[in-house]
Amino acid sequence: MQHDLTKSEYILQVEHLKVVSAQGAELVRDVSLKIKPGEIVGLVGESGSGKSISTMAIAGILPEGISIAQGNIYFNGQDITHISTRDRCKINGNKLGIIYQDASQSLNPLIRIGKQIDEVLKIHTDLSPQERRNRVYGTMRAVNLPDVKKLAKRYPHELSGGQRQRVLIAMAIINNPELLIADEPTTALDVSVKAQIIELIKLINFSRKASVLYISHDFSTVKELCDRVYVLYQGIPVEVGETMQITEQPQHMYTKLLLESIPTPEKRGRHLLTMKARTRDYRGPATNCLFADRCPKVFERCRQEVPDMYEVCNGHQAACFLFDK
Amino acid sequence: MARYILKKAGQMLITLLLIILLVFIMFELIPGNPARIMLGMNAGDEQVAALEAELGINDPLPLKIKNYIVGLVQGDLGRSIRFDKPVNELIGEAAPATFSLAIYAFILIVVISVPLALLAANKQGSILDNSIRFITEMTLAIPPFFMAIILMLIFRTTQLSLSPGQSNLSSAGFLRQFLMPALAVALSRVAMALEFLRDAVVGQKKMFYTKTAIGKGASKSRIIFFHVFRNSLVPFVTVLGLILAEVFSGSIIIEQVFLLPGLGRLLVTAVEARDFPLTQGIIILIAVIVIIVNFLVDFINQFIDPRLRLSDVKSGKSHFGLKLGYKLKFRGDAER
Repeated sequence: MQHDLTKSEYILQVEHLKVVSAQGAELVRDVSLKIKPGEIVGLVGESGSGKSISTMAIAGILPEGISIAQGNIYFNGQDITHISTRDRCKINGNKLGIIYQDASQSLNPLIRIGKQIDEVLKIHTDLSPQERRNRVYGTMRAVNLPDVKKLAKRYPHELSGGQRQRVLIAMAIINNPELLIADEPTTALDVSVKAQIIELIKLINFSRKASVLYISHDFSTVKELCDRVYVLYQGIPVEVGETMQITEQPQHMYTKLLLESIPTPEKRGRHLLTMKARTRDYRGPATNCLFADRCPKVFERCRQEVPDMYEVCNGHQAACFLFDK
Repeated sequence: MARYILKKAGQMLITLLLIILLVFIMFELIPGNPARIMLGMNAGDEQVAALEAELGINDPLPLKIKNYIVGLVQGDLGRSIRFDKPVNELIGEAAPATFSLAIYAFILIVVISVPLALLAANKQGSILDNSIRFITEMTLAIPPFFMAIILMLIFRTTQLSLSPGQSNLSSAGFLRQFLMPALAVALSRVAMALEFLRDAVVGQKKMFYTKTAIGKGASKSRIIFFHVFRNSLVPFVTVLGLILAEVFSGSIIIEQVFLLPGLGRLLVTAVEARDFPLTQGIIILIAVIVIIVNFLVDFINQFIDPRLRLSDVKSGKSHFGLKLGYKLKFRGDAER
């Protein structure tokens, strides 16, 4: 396989990814994204925007009946779009770590915590049982789990939600992956625990040099964590840029409205700006700007063409005709 | 754990007592006098009355039950009326045939159903899945005694096996001779076991932790054996327990068809002769087996699924024990 150099400069490069269901519904329409080594990239959108499906496609865990119809996914320059199960098994858990959102269901209820973490090492390394045990304990300590020797013998239902999430993170990072995919890892957690998990992901990114793809609908954690952000709407990125650009000077109306709808202390006493509700989930191919129905600044062209990504400034891009100069 | 076993043992004892009571009442209700049957139609009334008195047939029911339970506690199941031998001895002679048949059949059920269920579940909805289920469901529709006849025809034409019935067999000879009756008992239950395991595996495959396993880089077979199979075992073990109990009672009919000298044939003879002690003994033996199997199922399931162990801790009784412990400790401190 031949790749141009630029591809291998990125840890992950997704090009025009399109994911469809067996019925032909377009769950992800056209997603392109790039992650540089050491970067933390956020993928933001409401439910149904295709952010989780995109990550599933990247990790090769798409549910039955849902498949990649178009596009390519390059991991470290290697095309992993339609990779064999055997090769996939070599990447997942090794160079690619995945943290799922619902920790209570993501652990096998019948197997002790330590054994579940150990499984990753068993699959990918030739270490002796003693070495593996030490590394399991070490990683558990690294994710701030208390009393690791005792905890390793516990079953998932005997742990708190935050501890389970840490166990999942330990499993994802034990082999020092180059890319860590975190699919809404804080959704099921208390606010204080949430902040700890965010700090932990930052720490892993810093100390283990792992790039992170962070998926969330929660702008507050994204602001806290990410270097760059992709805002997804109905399976298409509508705005890309550095976190500061996106959160301080959002250009696309969707991002603006999304940020406006977050309750903050300054907005106290005022009505929150809310978007028009989606009237329907359109799953056919896009023929115009998909946000046109909800956009307050909609004009004629929006209903006739599909917008490209237009450069606003310095890598900040928005898929809106207002920036087509 | 000790508390749990004690509680279970108490439950088992109560069940056993109820079964004894039921059998006594049943024998009060069915017509036929064992003394009359033993002596034949030509015997005089005095003779019959004398034998009745000797056997204690006309004793009041509570006294009979009391005598029986006293005997049972001492390990004495009474004396058979029909054979004039201790019931223990008769059961001891017949039990091995039934036990071997039942256990053989049970092993066949497990050995056949587990791989087929995993195959079917792995390719869920495929032709393989559907044909495995179709064929086994057909065997479910055929009653064991009829299956026995079909098997006999098949084995006879292919000259594969001998008819069972001789004793003093080597293990290889045993496996061959009991194959036919064991298959007859097993085949109709295979479908049940298979369906349960297949559905459990299919259900577990959809659980989220399998996605975690893929994320870890686990291979397909690793996911099936290390994760999914283990998690499917609880419903499977439960249904296997039911099947094992059923296989014991199901062997009774098959013993008739294959003329095996087992408990089933002994039971039929005993009922025909109104041989009350013998019948009672066999029924109690089967009941004890069923009760023990159920206990084992509970026990094994707790071993497989740690969450089932919670019920023991949360029952409140252990909390009471804990409190009691504190109290005693406190009192001890105060006294000091």
